[in-house]
Amino acid sequence: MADFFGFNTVMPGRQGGKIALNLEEQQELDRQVQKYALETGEDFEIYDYGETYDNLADDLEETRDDLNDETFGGGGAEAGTDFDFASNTRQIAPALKKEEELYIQQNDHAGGRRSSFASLWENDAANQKDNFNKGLPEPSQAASSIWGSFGNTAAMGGVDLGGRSAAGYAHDPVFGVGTFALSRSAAFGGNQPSLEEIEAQLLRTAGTQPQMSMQQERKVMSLEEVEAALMNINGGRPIYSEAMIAEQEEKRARLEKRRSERLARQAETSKHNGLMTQSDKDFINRIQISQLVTDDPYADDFYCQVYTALRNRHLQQMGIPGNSMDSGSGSNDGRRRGNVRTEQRMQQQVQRIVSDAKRNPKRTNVTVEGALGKIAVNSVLNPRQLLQVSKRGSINDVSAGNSPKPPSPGPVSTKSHTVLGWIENVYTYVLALEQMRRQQPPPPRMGEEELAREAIQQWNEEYSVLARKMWNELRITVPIGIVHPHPFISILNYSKGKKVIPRVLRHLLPEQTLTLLTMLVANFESLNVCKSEVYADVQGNQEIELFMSTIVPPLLGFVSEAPFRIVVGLLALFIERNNMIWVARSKPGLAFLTLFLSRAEILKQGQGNYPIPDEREIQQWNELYNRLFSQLQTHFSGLFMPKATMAEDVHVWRFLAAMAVGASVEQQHVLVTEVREQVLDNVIAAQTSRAAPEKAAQRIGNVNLFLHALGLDASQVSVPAM
Amino acid sequence: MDDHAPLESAGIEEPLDLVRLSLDERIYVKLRGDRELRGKLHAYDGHLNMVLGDVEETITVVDVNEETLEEVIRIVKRNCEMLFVRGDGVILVSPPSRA
Repeated sequence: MADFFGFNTVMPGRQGGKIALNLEEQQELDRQVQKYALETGEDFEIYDYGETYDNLADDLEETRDDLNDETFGGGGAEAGTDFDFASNTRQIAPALKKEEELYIQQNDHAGGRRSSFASLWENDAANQKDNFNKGLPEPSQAASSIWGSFGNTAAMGGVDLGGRSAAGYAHDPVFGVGTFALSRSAAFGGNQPSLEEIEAQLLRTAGTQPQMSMQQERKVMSLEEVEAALMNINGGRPIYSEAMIAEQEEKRARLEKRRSERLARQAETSKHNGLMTQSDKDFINRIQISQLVTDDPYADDFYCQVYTALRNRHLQQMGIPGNSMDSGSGSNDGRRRGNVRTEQRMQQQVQRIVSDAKRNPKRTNVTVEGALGKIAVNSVLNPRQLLQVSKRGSINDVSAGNSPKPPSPGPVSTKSHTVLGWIENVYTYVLALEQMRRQQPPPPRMGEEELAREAIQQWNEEYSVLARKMWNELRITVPIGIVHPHPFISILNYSKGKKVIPRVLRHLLPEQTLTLLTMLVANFESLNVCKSEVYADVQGNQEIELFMSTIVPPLLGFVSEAPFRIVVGLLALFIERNNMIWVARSKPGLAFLTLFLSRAEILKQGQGNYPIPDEREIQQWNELYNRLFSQLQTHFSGLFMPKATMAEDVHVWRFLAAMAVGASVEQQHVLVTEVREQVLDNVIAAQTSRAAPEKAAQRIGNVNLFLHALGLDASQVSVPAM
Repeated sequence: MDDHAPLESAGIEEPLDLVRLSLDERIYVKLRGDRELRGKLHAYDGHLNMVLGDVEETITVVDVNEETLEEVIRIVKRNCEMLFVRGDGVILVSPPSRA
């Protein structure tokens, strides 16, 4: 031990029981201490006992120190390897781990937690940003870890670190909490801060402006939601009933087995323990989490959220308590309890990353000085870009003088691409509107009416702007005749165009809905679901079913509240603009006709909340009805699809019933004559067929729909003898 | 006409916008490893990870007879109700050929 960090460690000779140095040696020592102090930034004055030395050690027995070398691992030869930190750490890894565990246990009781990150985060925002930019852990943090490890190393290997190990840096976790508690004590009255307090403090430091606090609060909520959702996914199902206790037992056994397996695995890999300090781990954690973090978890985890909501509702419908977002699950309780601390820490990390990402959104990678390579700060939403495709703006710049548009490849493909593009735009706006609805400002609270009113007004404006854009994108207001088929009908001819309609209607004003319905009715013929050949194949039938399940129900709801005048107007337009024979052969067309007829009948009888229509309106309606009847006359039996099963012609019977209700006696006669065949066929089939009774009942039921409207019943039909 | 967006604008600015147009439509996907998929595109992301429905997968296998060194090309087909495609294997995405 001739030389240690430049210190002369050779013990000076003893003179008169007091350590006496000659002047030269004294000066040399002072110089070295000062030099070391400069290098390390350490203030050695506090360690300088100066004249306070009270000679108490004079009486100590100073002999029999021949075994010192063995005890303390002396001998200059080993000095060279004492600074091989990695191998030292590896050697003492088990001890470190044990200490860490012990520490965690202690802290579990104390309600505290090991949080070297917490200490990292209490720096001011600028400092945080700086650290993030450099992508480096805080220097002092790293140093503390090193010193922490050294403390242990010193204890094990007998290496004295110039008195540093005595300064209370026992090891790194303690150091972390130590500083943490210390710096906090001022703010929290010397008590160990609770987690809530820490969180609140973090919020305060993160959001430097007070007006941001509301937003911050909301963000925290959403983060919690995401986490809850994550936990939920991990969490499996709760235990529902006592009947499943056996299963629970089995589960427990399985868990036990898994635990032992895990322990075995841990033992196998334990030789690598302790290679990384806590700050290393935190650093890597942060990089990994930053890839996943998002500012708007609800929108980004939309499918997960909706799926969870739907599943919970489904479970509740079955009488099972829903697996609510944050409820624990039976199988994972043990692990979850252990994870609470980790999750909380993770949550805080996530929050920090979000605010960092907000501060510099443009940055896509960082180069750490002296490091090999770059650290990409891409996220799931922003994957590494390999192709640099210039945006449209720059293309326009290049070709500004020439033709404004590149020639289209062909009329057909342009056409379908254009319509598909419209549909996608509609979806974009619908999604934005739905997102806005979720972020609707809350109703005003006491004392904040003014603020809330402003927020609500702003929200309303933004909402109506978006709704207007969506409305334009639907192209309903494009005059008829410019393009054929009408753009709106082209949208409806795609199945995704049909699917979006119910979602669109929720954001429309009543008069817009009426315009939509008018446009649909006026162009009904050109709908692809109206073409009879679509019944031929499976896909066509799917399209019809889609139309019936997406577009008809909401419009049915609308019409069933419409006044008589509007119903008359719509039916007039329907008859005027479309070939009735053609339209009535299609299921959607028949559905709309039935809808108008039955609504008119209800209003004529004075039901609903509208007054009974006046004489003139009734007159108008009767003319319209007669026109429809005369157009369809001799085609009523043709409405039945050839080879249709009975379930499929319910809508025809329903339509006939709607016709029959409003028909005059002669018209009723015509109706009965025309569909006599079908009535008889069904009754005979029901009475004689070997089919299941419920099928027979259905046939009779279908026929009765029509016959009851005429005041008849299927039982009155006499079946001619075969 | 001032009231609504121009008829022609489809807002295609980058390649993925074209893929977006095929959402909910049947597409053809060519994959590494002599695989082809035909199915309905439910979802995709920037890595071209995709979720397809009603998929028909076609795998072309070349069997080499060890004695005669003869190459026999075999086509294996299978159907999946729902399929997740990892984007790193995607070579080509297109609407199905109209033929």
